[in-house]
Amino acid sequence: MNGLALSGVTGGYGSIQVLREISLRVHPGEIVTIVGVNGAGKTTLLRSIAGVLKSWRGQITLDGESIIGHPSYWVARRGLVLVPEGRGIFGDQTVRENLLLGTLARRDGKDAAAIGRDLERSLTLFPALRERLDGLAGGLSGGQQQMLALARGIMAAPKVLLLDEPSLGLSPILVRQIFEAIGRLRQEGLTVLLVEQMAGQALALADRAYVLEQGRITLEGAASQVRENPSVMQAYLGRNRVT
Amino acid sequence: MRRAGWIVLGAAVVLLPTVTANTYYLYIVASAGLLTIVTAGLNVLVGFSGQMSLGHAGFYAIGAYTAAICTVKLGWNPWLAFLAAVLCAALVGAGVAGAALRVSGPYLAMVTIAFGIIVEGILVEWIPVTGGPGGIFRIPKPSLVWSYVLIMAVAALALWLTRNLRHSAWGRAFLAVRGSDVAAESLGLSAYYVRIVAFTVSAGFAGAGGALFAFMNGYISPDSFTLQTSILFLLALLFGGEGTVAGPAVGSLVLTLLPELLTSLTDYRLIIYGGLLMCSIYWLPAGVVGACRSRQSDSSDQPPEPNRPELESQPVRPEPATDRLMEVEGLSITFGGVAALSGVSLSLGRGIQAVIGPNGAGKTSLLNVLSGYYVAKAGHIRLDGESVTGRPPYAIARRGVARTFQTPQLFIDLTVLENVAVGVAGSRPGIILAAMLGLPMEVRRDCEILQTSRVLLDRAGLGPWAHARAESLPSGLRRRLEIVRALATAPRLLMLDEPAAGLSPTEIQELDADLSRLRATGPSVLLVEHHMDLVMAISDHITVLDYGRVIASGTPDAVRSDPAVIEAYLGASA
Amino acid sequence: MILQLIVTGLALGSMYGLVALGYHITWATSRTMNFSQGQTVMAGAVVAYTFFVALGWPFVPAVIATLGCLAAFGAGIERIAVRPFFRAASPAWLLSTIACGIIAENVAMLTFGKDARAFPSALTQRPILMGGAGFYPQELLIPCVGFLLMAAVQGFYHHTAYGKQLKAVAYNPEAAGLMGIHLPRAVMSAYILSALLAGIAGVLLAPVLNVAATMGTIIGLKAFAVAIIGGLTSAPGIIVAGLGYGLVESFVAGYLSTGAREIIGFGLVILVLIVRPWGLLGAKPARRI
Repeated sequence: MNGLALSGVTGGYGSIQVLREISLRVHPGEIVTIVGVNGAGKTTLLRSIAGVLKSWRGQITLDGESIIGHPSYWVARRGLVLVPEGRGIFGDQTVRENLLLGTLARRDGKDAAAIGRDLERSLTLFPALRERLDGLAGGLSGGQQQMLALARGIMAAPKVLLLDEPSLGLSPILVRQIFEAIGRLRQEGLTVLLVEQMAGQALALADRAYVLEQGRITLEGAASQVRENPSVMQAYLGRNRVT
Repeated sequence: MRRAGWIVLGAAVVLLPTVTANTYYLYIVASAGLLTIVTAGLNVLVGFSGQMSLGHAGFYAIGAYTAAICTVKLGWNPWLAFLAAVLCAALVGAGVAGAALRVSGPYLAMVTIAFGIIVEGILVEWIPVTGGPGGIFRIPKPSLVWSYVLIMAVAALALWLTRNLRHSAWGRAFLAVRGSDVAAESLGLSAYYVRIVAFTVSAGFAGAGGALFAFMNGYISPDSFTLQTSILFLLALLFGGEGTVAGPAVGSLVLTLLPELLTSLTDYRLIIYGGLLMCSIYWLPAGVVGACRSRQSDSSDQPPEPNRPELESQPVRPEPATDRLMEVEGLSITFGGVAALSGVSLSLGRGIQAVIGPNGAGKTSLLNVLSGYYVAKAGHIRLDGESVTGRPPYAIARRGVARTFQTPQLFIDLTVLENVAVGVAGSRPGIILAAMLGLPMEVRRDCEILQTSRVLLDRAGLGPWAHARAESLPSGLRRRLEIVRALATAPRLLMLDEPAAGLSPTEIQELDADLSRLRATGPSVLLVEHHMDLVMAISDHITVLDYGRVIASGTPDAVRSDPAVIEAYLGASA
Repeated sequence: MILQLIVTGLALGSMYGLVALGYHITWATSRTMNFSQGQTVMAGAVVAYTFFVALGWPFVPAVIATLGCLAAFGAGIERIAVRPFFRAASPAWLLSTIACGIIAENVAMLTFGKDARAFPSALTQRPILMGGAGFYPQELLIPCVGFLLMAAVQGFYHHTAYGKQLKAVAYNPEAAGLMGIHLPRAVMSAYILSALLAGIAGVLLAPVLNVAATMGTIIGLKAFAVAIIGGLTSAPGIIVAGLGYGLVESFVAGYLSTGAREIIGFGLVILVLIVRPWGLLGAKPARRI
């Protein structure tokens, strides 16, 4: 089984259960999105996959190998890299240093030529970073920090890149730029699992989609179909009270 | 079993002088008694309020030297000198606490260590008063048997006082601050003040122990008051079991007797202490007494299912004069250069008002500013016409604003009933001395507090859980308990931070019913929530935030059809 | 007189700074500290004495063997006293590291003896006379090595790949883990580095202070004070605070009395914390609700 596969994953924080029997697939070369309102459990799901949180039950495999129960650094080095919500950049190091820290999880033995190629690719994708390469990452604007976080994810040359709310706190123009960049990455063959609250843009970009509601997957299918489904709108803006 | 333990201990202590005339045994047990007095006090600080002190030898020294100086140099009556020693240590304790408790963790450890070293230095250097390295001689000294009797009586008294304290409103306040100072402040308690009180009481106990030490030996010198002494105090407490009433007695007894039993191994004394400390941290994290207690409670039955709930608040405070309970104007706050709120204005009246918005829109920041946890960069907050801008959380809580938290902040060391009782007592835990002495007026007041809490719990359907530790509640009930606790302060305004997060669909329906009932009878509610079914169903008014600004405001129907809201939530459909 | 006090102050102060940097390094990576740092200083001196004086090894192998022992000591403390309690919110690590220090001191007392011994050094044979003051070459060597090492630590953090990884762990451990940085190994490295710094301070101080099983406690405490005054999160703050503390101590001892030294030194600690609760250059931890 190639790609990322979850089956029956249950988990949460402490004793509070958030995820209820999640099963999903991400095939190589796909962009899959998980949409749902704030609090549906999207971030918890990504953090559980990446090994930041320990899942309680279920199976998670990457290219057929079980990755459940391992710490985050182990999972990252297997080729599954999470760009976390809040970006997680290292503000006291330069943009270049941040990008190079991204290469730790590479599986190609730190091949200098390949690293150089990926660096060039990231900087072409986000020209704003090229100008600030030797400036401290903490001095970047919110949008540039998000670009840096994405670029750093690319530097790891991952099998699957997990993106947690890349649009968070960004102005609409920046959100569009970020989404365009993700679209271009897909053309280069990157596999992405994207978690988004901005369902409109995420669904326009993705191949397939899952809708997460209260820790459960309530709908799945081709992104275009999910987009047309009226229950998505309801999940976001509320149904009338059932009386 | 617990009572049997106390009876055996008490009988052994009473019978010892009649069985043996060997002064050595009396001396050793009396030393354990001294250590018990100090650790019982330290227990108030460490076990109850959750703070750390590595400088209690300093208070022990202040007690000892005050007693010695008062009797030897000023010729006071020893009883008077004893009182002076306790007062003096407590006063210095209050002063040190005022400086030390502004910081926490390693910084607090440093201040207490520094205090201990300074006291030790002064004892050595201030020769005219303290006698310098030689110390003070010829302190009036009763016979050893009398010392023994006196010390044991005081040790018993010390344990009894801490027991009373633990079961009073003050004891609950200490444990509340330990469990979550954030939540304690939301109920009107100033964590800083509560901790200063704990530190002061604790220093007073150490002073009493020091004074008795001086009277028992008739001679004191700085050697008895080093950092090692402070560490020994802490070790005895932790080994016995911090937070338990009997812990100090058990720990003191073991740590005094053990080296005596192993006199042939004097050279290995420190290894034994260190090894004991390591073992207790590894295998007895709750101490000897704590381990025994948890084994007992393991066998107890699981509490039954809760009854059907009915949330009600305490009698609501007088209606506000105006319809505008809270008015907010131009509120702005930034974190690390990013504006979380910019120029937010709103006005809260009666009923349920909801604040919604996409992830990161600034909803929780708004709630934290309104309840005083964050200080706004600009803007004004008025509560019933009175400005509360920049006031600390407990001050805002005292003016009738209660809140809950995104992750429930329960006081995990307290029972469910006691959690609510902290809310009922609010900012008025009473007079601490009266509580420690168990005076009738204080006991009566406490009964009333617990009865009120019990009624509130029963109404909320949590009655069957009253005596379970809050920690053992399932997550859905934790949220309900937190709401009951907030309502127990009889607020005018209740702010709920994502009360539906993590609840099952049935639990959400229950919450829906509860909130509808509150709308009819209870305080005004400010609801931050993203579960839209709930928000749309029960809110009277909705404010929508995006990028820290108000983008829409109105009735649920108006907001739902507002294009700006749809775009904020779903993004422009490309 | 003043010159002599300055030299003594800088010598002691640079050592306090070095030991205090050890507290900072582990605090930054793991929010824990080795409270037996003072005993690590002692261990450095005692082990160096054993190899160099008692066993008569040549200088270089003795120093290398000493550093090896210190690294093992630091790793052991991390493994035994810190890692099991890493995630516990309780201060269990504080007590367990104190316990390790107590045990180490007792072991040194049993093997090394209770008395202080002089550590022979060519640099403490003849004092240099300069401007009416006299001091040993060792006293000049100490601050030089101290400054070099502090600079080396800063260089390691800012200019080597592994240093940058440790820096990333200190800045945001969760994000560092997501980058593939082996977190437990990073914490252990921090403890080893911290023990090395303390141990080197012990070796440097041995010829001046004499070697004794109990020599570490007070140095460890003062270094802790320095780390707190400077701000646990700030390496530059700690270096400044270390030198400042050394100078204040030296001048108080010179003009008032050695007894007043501790009172004034630790009194200053409390004063600084009243004015700046998180140290001179430390950052206040953000309150998270």
